[in-house]
Amino acid sequence: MKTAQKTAIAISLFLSLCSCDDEDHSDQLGGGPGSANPSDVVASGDGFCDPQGGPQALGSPSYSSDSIAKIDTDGNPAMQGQDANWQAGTSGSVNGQAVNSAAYAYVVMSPGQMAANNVALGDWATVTNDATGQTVYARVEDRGPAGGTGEISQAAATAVGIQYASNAFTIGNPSVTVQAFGGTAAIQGDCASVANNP
Amino acid sequence: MKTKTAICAASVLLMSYFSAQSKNITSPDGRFAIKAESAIELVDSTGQTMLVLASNTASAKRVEIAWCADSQRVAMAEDFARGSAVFVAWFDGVSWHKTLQSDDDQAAIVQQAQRQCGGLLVSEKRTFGPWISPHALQVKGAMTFSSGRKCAYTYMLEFGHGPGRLDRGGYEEGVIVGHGYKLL
Repeated sequence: MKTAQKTAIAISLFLSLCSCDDEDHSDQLGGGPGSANPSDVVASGDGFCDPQGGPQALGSPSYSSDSIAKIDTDGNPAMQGQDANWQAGTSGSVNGQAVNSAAYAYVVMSPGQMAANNVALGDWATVTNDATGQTVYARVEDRGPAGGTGEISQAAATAVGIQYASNAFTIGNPSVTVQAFGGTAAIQGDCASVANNP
Repeated sequence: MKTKTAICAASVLLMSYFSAQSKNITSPDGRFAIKAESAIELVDSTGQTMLVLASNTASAKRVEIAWCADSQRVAMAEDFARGSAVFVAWFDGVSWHKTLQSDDDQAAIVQQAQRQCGGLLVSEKRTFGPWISPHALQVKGAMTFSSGRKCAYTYMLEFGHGPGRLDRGGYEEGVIVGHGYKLL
């Protein structure tokens, strides 16, 4: 096969895999750029894409925290027995399924934080590694205990260059800024672009 | 105090929360009710919504409602798989208002429990004791830490001076404050 043909097929395959149908968030599960499984482009979902309309579509964040990162492994079957705090499901679900921590960038907020800041499950969020400036788009998909901050999924951590051990403890004490944008759950992802990772 | 306790014996009703089912927890005087569907609303006797106490109830595991005997205040504890929150609505004679207990309010007891139990806070649940007075409700909680240990605690949720700052969710902040936190 000629190089030009190979390139055309590759581009065609890439485009077909990247085409998003966010109507029912069916593409939210899975890897994608920056995830624990970056080759799994098929499943790249809103958690790794820019919001349609760009960052300005989200407006100003209604919630922001800056703290040491903690890893939430809920929804990832592989972490059962590894992470003492593992739970099979997340509060948020996509198409009736728990969100997989390893495959989907999400953040955790307490019920009080969500209520006070008018944030709901499914709303957009960003996670920024304070040390490197790497940022990934995420969704709010789990609820945690009161006062909890900086709790992010494995995929979100990986996307911003935060490493963690097999027991889900972060390596070092990486600091992250988590921002959530209330009332943005209905904004679909634009899978043609990914979050800005400097 | 005993008299007050008797007067304000909590109208505590426990219910399992199912979003598909409507459940009404009526105030002692019968004029109002907490209606639990996909949202938790305070309604009057005609069913008209006075306010939405909590709109974000998806995946709630348990909701507990405690009406004060004078029907002027009602508290709600909402438990999820890992987190919980306490909301309160009160009537000022003209209209109903709502507030929630700030997470910051619990910071000291969380740190204290963390020292005792070890590890990070993983999950928490809260239940109500009785209304001790029209302005104070006993709350009991349980925190689970990453060490696997659990710490039980109690405190008194008291009405302070309002109105507080209105947050983005429409809650008047700082109106209720936890006092007398104690590990059990």
